[in-house]
Amino acid sequence: MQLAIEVSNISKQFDQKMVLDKVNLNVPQGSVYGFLGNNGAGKSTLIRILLGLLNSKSGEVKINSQLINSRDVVYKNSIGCLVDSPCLYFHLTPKEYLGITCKIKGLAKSSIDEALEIVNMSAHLNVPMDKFSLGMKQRIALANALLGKPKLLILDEPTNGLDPAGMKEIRHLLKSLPEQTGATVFLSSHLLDEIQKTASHVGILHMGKMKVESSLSQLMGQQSSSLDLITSSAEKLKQHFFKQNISSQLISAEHLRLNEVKQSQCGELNRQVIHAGFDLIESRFNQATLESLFLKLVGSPTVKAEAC
Amino acid sequence: MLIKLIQIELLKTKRSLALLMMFLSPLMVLLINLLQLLHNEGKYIAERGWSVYWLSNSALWGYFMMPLYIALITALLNGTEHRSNGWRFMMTLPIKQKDLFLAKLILAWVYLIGASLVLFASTLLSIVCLEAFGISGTDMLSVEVIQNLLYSTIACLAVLTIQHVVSWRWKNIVAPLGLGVIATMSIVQLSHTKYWHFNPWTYILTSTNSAEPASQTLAIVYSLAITLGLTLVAMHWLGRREVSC
Repeated sequence: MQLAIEVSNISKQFDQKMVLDKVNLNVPQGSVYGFLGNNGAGKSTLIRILLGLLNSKSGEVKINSQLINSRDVVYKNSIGCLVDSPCLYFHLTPKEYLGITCKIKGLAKSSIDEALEIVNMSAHLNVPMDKFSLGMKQRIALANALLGKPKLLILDEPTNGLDPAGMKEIRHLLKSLPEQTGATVFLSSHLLDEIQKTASHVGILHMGKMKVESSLSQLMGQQSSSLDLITSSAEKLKQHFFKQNISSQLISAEHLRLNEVKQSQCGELNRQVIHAGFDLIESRFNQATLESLFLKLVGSPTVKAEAC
Repeated sequence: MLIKLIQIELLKTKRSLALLMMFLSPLMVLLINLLQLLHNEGKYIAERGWSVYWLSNSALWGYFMMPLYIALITALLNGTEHRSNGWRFMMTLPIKQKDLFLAKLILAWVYLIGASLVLFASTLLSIVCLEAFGISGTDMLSVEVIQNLLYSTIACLAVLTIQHVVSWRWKNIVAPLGLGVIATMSIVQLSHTKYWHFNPWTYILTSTNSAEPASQTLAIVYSLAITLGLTLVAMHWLGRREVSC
């Protein structure tokens, strides 16, 4: 498997605080990689190391199989990125602003129109950006990342400030990029639902350490779903399922949860409840989500100051 | 790449006060001296020639306006990055920090040369106009005037580099402007003492208005040495510096 990003044993310390602790990360080429973690987990720090903004204390980074050191800049030609909030020169127009990246990377000026077209900002080509809303600024920053169809896109919270329609547009765009251009998308976000809908691979960073890294389908396959049953006598129903070796959990006197249930089993289980003489008030299937997995792995989100 | 970066930095000054300041600063100097000349009805021009007028313009420029203009233009060029997280944007592009440092320094110098040329051209134009209105004198334009123009634009390099480093390093605009104002005030006190060597802000005036040719040369040599040394140190520092904002 060809890797677009290969991070080996990267550590980073700010003052006395270890922000990244021997992190390993492998992003397959052509994947959409969702990079998750609580605030202060070290996501932004790792992204900044990938982009050469910060130096790591130890370890190595390979981008498109090329070993990167802090003095390298050439590899950035093949990267489009958006880090945190948009960094725009508000007194310039989108055309002038995107022209900066074009000039430095030696891209054709036509790529400005293409990128603005993708993010639906063509109509604002020559308007100074100080009049733009947050969503519009985010679109321009995204257009900058997309300039020249880079091989690797590194995006930190790319849907920040976008309305639901805009988020959907961007989600479709990011999902289609690997197929259309062969690009790899490395995506950091707090929106777990967005990641679940977009990513093919997922990595979860917690307190500076990688907790999980896998393809999304594999990861979700390992997670069990459940079936919630609301009945007048949950205790008796629990005993009924116990005799059939079906694991369950009593939530309340009327609420029973059957564990590790597949969606295809729901109909049969509901029929069983009724045939056994129980009254079934409500039956609800709980699909395993990335959110439930995330919370299981890292616990409730705790707010910590970002190291940088 | 350096040429590209200078063009980009020039683009970033679009719709800013950079160009307006380039014209306004020297024209203020001219206006002050012109009003003084008209107040005296041009008597000293008839007695001592236009060289006095040139000299008073270059003195006010070197004493006061040029150091302040340097503080303003370097603060403006670097402030653009500080205000908009521009450092982060620029450093994610395939460029080196030291190239960006040099590009900004060169552009600041270009603006300064532009301002000096505005002063030269406007002074010459005012002399032609005053001659037409009956105020006449000798030495309308001498080699010394051109020489002073050249000297001041070289002697200012040390101050330009110092102010550029301060503006680059500190986000708060008070730092470069405060330094500029305080150091400019020190020119008055130190330029005529034996300690002028230790204050780079005095080099501009010494290079143009000093009575001793040796001091003029020394001011230029000091300025070039400081510029070279500080630029090398800054570039070495920038080669290892992280962009944390």
